Amino acid sequence: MPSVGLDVGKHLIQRTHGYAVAEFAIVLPAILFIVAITLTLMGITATQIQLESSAAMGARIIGRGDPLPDSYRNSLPLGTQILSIPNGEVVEVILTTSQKIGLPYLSYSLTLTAKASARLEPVFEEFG
Amino acid sequence: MQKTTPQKANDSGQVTILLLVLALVLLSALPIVGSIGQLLVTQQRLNAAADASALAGALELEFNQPQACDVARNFQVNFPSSTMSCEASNSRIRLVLTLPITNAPMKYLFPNLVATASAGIAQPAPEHGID
Repeated sequence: MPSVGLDVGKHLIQRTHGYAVAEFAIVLPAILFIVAITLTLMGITATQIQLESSAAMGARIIGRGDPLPDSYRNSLPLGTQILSIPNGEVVEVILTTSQKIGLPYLSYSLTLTAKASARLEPVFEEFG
Repeated sequence: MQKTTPQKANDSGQVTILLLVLALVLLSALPIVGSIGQLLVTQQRLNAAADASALAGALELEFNQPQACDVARNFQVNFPSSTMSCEASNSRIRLVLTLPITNAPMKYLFPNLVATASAGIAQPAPEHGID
């Protein structure tokens, strides 16, 4: 529906421009919200994949009888907890981290967990 | 001669409809993004499980080679619905882990996830050394 206004000569005119901008401004937040959710999902997936890969690598390192090096710990997401559970011939490594999603002041913390296991290799001690 | 002026069409609301359609398309893409993410994570887990199983089986190659595949199968407990095919020789074990996808949207595109892994030991030294 066109609106009315005054032109330079104070004559009543009908205005039809500006509707597209107004409509775009109304719908834009909804689209930005959906795009933000999509990007957040992709970020969570990337972090989860990184955790799974790191858990498998950590289990392999411990299974060989080596301690976890600092380079491994530094490669994990900030604040990741490492739990190593030996169970007979198998060692299980559990990595837990929390990822904040949402707006800076309205954030929600999501806990991501990855678990991997490896068989402990026999250690042959060298004599002499 | 009478001049006819074209009637002006009412364009208001068209952008809203276009953007709402775009929003609906993006909204319907969300479950697909989630399913693809879940698929990628499952593939990563399957790869790790296949690697760990192959390494567990490889520890048996030197002294207990006939049991290497059984050890690899017993080690693989994270994916009970998966199937494993395994071949073991004197110095190498190779296995293929296949996991059927059960999620409705993705199982039509990717019916199975497959992970292949192999591990081995160094070639055993010959029994008779250099004379």
